[in-house]
Amino acid sequence: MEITTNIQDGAAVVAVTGRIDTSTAPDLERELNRIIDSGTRKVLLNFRNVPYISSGGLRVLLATAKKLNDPSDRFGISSLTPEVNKIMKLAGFTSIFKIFPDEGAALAGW
Amino acid sequence: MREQRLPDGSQLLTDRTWQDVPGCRDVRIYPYIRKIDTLSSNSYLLSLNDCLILLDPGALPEQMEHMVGVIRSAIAEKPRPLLAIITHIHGDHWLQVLENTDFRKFPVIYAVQETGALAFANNDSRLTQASLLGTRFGTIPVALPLFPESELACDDGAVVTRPGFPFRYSYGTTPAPGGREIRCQNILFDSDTLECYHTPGHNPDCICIRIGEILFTGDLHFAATTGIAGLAGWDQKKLIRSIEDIRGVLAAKPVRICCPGHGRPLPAPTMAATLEALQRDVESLEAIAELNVARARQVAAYAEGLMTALGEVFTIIEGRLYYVAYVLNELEESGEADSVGKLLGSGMIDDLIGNFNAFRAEYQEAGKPDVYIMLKAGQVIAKMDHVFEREDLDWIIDSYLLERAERLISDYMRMAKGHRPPVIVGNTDLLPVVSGAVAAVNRPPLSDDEFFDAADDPEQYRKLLAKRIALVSPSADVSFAFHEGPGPYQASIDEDRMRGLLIMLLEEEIGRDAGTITIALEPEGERLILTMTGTGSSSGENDAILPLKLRFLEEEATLAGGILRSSFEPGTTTFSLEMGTGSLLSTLLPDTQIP
Repeated sequence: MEITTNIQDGAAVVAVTGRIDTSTAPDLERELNRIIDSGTRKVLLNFRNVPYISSGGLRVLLATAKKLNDPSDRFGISSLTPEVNKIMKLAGFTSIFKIFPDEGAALAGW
Repeated sequence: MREQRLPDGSQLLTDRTWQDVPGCRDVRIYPYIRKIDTLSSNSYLLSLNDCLILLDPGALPEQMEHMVGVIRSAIAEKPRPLLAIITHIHGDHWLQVLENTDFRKFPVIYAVQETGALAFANNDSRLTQASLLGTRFGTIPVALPLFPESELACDDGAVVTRPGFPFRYSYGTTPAPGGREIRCQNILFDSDTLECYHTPGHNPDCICIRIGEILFTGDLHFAATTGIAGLAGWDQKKLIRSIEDIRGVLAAKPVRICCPGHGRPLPAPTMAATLEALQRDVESLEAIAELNVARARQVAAYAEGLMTALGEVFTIIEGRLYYVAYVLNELEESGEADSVGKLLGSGMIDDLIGNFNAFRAEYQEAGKPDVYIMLKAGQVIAKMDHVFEREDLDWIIDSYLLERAERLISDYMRMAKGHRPPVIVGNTDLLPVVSGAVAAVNRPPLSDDEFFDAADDPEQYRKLLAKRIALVSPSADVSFAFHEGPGPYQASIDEDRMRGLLIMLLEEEIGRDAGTITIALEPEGERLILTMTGTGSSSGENDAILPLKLRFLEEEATLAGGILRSSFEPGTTTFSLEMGTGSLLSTLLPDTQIP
């Protein structure tokens, strides 16, 4: 799994490539914690190249949502693949996170 | 390794340490005990005044190097012949004798039951399991074929000598259940006697060995394990008899410690109880198919798709539990949140799936045989089965998800044992099956009345609150349309499997952001065609299902009694299922009884 973080308009855009499973989820969690600890309160995850997410990955998303729960904070996910979108919908996660079709829509719409 | 103790509180064997063999005049033992896997057996070195005996040299280089060091010291202390006895010729019990050059320098005298000795002589790659592993093994010269046919008529107690074998032996009998007698071959040493029992079933050449109060049981108690049962040479009837025989030995002889070919030693009463349960398991394994290369490939391929589906369903279940815990925490119900979050083993299943995927990637990259993937899947699914307790989740998770998890686990267990997953076929009206599937993904929330009724009972209220959160309706923003042709909509299908399949197809549509899902039923002669079309906002860029998942869905369709076809266009995903009368089903599933 590869993670690339770019700062755009004060928001961290985190592009993930690869499977988020029990072995890679801790890396994602570390990166998200690093971003939040550095004071960034707007985080967008771009999952365009994430073909699979396990429950360990879902847990990291929830833990991040918990940390970014101030009304002025922003946390969203964009560009879900069908497999990940299915898991998010069936697990009920789409009612917690803002899901956007692509990065542009997210940065313009949140 | 967890220490076990005998019923009187005394210690079992200590790993990699010399210790006395209880019940012997002058025998010491040095065990090399490994965790249970398919790579190598345990090894046990026995030191007698006139001989060293290595039981099962094993198949791992580091294990053999260790044992060579111990043997070298023992011989330096007192030069003696080295006898290697192999409890059966599966490669994991002896392959290192070919590989380790230091071991080959010892003048080793090999003893193997006669069928195994003949298999070595004839380079039989089935009984060693070399063919299943896609390889060939070398061979070893056997000086003492145990229980040879030529000695069947030997009188009990008559002392036998054999050219090339420096010890004398005799035959004897022990009472067995049902008034039978078990024959044993006794190798006679200065101080003590080693008793061998022929115990075919796991392999035709299996033996168990007793010295003093220790019984070495080889792989007897693993013989019903998924992925082991059905190996070339496996024989249900002989295995049942062998289990009875060894239960008889445990009852008749002063055995306190049982040393299996893999894993920790066990107290004799534990082994007796294990064998009793094993016998029941083996009796249920009627008509098991031989586990050969072709079947290993078939089961491994099935396992890969099935593990994808299992990973998915458990991710959904665990995701829902995390989601409920998250919302409960937000509602300051942290106690209930904690207990809900732990209902599915706290991430254990996720770890197991990750472990399987890593194993599969490594083995496929190395080009290793399919049987390893099949066995790993069996091991992982058995552990999932252990962690997954449906009754803990029934109250909070949709039953269709729990049923799917249960069915997938049970299907794999059946498949790995050489049976097709069970199919219950009936001439079924498809309309209720379709509406049942739609209702599963489009369920209404918990009724307010039910919720209000519980308001006075804090515990019941918290449970209902969690349940209300957990009842996710993933198709809340989907509209459904039905197009029915002129009925009837009867087809020969397995109703439960078909409903389960339709739910999985609906989930695929939902994952592709279908705004509308149209389901059409159209009779075509003796066939009935169901078409499910999802149209929506999806870009279509990555819409096709992964080949592994698609193959799994097609197999599920076959078991349900249909042929699945699919197409993925930008914004439109279509599945079609062809079902029919008994004639279609008998083509799909040749051995199924059609009512």
